[in-house]
Amino acid sequence: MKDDAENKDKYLVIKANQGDTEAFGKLFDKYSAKIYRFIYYKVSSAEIAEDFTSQCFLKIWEQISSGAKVRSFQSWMYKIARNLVIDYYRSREREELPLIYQEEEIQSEVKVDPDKNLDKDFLEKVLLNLNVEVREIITLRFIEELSIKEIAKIVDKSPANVRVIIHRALKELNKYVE
Amino acid sequence: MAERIAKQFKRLQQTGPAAEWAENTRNFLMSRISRDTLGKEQPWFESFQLNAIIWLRKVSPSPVKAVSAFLVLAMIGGTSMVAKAEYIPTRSLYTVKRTVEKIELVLAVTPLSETKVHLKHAAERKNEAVKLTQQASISSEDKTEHINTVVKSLKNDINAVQTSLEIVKGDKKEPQKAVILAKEITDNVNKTIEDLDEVKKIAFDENIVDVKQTVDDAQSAIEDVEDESIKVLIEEVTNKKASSAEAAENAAQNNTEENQAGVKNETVPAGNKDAKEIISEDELKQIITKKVERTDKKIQEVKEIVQNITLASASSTTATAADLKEVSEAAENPAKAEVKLIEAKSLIEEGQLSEAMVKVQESKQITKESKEVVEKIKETQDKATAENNQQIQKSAEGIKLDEVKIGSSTTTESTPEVIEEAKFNSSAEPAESAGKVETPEEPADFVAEDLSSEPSEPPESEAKVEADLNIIK
Repeated sequence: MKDDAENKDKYLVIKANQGDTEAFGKLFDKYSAKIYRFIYYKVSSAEIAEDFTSQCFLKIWEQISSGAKVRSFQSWMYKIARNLVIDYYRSREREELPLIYQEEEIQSEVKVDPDKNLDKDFLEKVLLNLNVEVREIITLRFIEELSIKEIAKIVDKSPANVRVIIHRALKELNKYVE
Repeated sequence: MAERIAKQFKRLQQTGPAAEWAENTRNFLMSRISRDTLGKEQPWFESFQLNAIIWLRKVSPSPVKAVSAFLVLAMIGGTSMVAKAEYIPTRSLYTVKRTVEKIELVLAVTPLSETKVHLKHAAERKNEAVKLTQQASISSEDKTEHINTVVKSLKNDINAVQTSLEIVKGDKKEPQKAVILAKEITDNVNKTIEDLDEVKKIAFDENIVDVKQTVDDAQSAIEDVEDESIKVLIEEVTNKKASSAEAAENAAQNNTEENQAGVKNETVPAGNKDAKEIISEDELKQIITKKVERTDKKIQEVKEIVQNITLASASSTTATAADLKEVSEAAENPAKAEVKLIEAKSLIEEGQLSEAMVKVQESKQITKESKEVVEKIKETQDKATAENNQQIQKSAEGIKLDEVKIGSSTTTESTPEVIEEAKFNSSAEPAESAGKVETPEEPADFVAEDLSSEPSEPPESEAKVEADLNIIK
């Protein structure tokens, strides 16, 4: 099934490169929300996330039209988005700390019953309280439901390393459990 | 516990960009792409790649399709494996087996491969016939029917082999193919003929007589195709021998000329050594010798039958002069056939294979004709013996009835000895036999009337019975 999806993506990429705008439109429809979420939970700003998502797709198009070879479109796309965010923070490192979530830090003494349906805001807060590096992996693993192997490719880490980070993150989440 | 919280993060999938932004961005990207690709020429490999992906998407099966296809194939494979062991033609698995065989035939495209498949099927039919004869749980009638069916199929396969051989023989471009085919046939048929003999023997032992003709026909067809194959092989060996001799002669001539001119020359190889030898003369001799042995075996069988018939005719009082003449003529034929075989053997030793084969065929023909004659005589004799036996039994029963009538007060024992004794007494000394009756309860006139029906001299039918008894003994 994964291979089929990959083949479909490749097909759309080639079609887009041949000038089929609708093919790229399909790729956008399929991945724009995912890329947006990935960036949003990195920067925790809707505006910045939207801006980066647009930039990300523009970059994707530029690379496709320049004839870049794409093996796994999804991993490649997340990597482009990740690099955009990293570049952005590098350029603004000395200027300011744009992470809004730091102001909204939740009290660690808040305890919840994990068997109950948790509030979306609470989940967002819990997620944003995690370390940036850990948050990125948790987003890809539990929100986007990617495999460890795919995550390892996106974040340039070994699968074992990714597993260790997920394990630590789960340990950290234990403090919210009743 | 923390995993449960982590799993609830999935609910954050609802987070997404504003619809308006999404639409605007999409439109912006579309216009950008349209602008960038305007007038852009596509390299050929991109079109090729695109088509390859389309094709791959069409061809590559989904997991469900793949698993289903695998299951179907496994089922077909499994069924055909089970069906392979089936040998009773009326069962449904046998139909599956034959269908698989038909597919094998369709897949065989060259005459050589087709012949191989036919020979394989013929061997399979032969195995089925052997199994059927050995099967105790099938009734004689069914056995006869099944054996006839499989042996007829075997004959059809052999006929197909014969046709293939004729087609390949007609192909003058590749004469080697006919030789390969002929070799393949001779390698396979010998065992089939021997096993069919076994089938006949078992069938005869089990009193299944109706299969003999079918098996004989099949064997005759196999022998014919074998003869044809041997002829092809003989031709090949003879041609090779001739070309070798010619080459050797040329080489010798060249050497002489060069020696005269004072030039040293290396030895020229005799014959064409590059050509792959399909069959050697020795191998062919072995094949013909096997055929000679088989014919000899048949001659011995005929001789045995002739001996039995001669003995029976000599002791029979009913045998006419014409019968005896027929038997003596039939007895001469195996001897003639044997002489032909001895000639064939010496010709094989001399290397005159073609002539040897003619002698073998002549011997085979004489044996065949002789066998037909002696079998007919034997059949007639057997019939006569059976009729006589019936008459003897009837006579014995009649005597027994008489004794019951005579010895009404004393219980008459009906053992064969008593019947035999009574028969002799009643025929030779009727009065004495009557006198043996101790207390006749029947009226005297009744006894007298009963006895008056017996002739005083042994009747003609009784003499015939005696003669028949001798034959049986």
